[in-house]
Amino acid sequence: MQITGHNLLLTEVASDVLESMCFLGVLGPAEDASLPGEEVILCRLEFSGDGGGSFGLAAPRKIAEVIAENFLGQPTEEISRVQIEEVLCELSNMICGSFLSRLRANTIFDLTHPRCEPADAARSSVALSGNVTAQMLDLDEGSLFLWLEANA
Amino acid sequence: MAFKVLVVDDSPAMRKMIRRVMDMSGIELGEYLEAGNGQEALDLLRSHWVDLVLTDINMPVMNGEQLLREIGNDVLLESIPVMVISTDRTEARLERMMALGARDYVTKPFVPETLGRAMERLLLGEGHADHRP
Repeated sequence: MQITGHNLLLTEVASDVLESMCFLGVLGPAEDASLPGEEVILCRLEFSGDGGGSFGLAAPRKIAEVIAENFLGQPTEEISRVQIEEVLCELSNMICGSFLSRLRANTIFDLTHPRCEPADAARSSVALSGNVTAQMLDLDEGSLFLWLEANA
Repeated sequence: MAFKVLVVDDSPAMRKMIRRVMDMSGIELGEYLEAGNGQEALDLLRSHWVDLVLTDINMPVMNGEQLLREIGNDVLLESIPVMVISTDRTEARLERMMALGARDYVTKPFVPETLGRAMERLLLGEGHADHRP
């Protein structure tokens, strides 16, 4: 996976969001850039403004549970699958919105409501697109995969 | 004094998180109302008085920008302070929301203390502050 300025910004923004809102430290970019083989929860949203595109976040179930637990401040056993998805959606919104407004400081972007999708769909779209900033991040609890795809 | 607060966000997770921040901040909460979009917020505001509205921008049905316009155009609601909470940290967005009558603008992500202090300032009537990082 090629590391670019966009990758660094995406890493910085995601770290900021995870540390501020979920009290989770990011260890850094992951060396292994492949998607995890276990159950993955995936969120995606579209954005429009000065150019449009989509943003996605994929988290193994175990990581998603830790993120939701810390964000909501309640134990995992009290958190439903729907709540985990809601937290990942909010996380996607924050990372994408923050990334875009740091990337283009004078442009207003509109973001659609994030939605969860089957993980296989995301694997396909990331693999097929050539205009993607993709980053796998290592957390203590495992890895998180993020990508932003700009429309051609 | 117990305050009544309305949080407008299409994310139930974010509404819960803001409630948590309020509980942690020590702000005495009389009533915590929630709305999933601007239209739901307006419906609530026409039947409940609140001391503060916290609103997201990007929402279905009615977004935060339109909500601010509606509140500003309603003589019964225009005095209610509105704080915008958004991921958008661009100057253009901030200026647009403040011009529409927002009293404060906090960017996500935020540390809980930042939002808590901003809410305290508005509820205690100390006016506007810029909390962008």
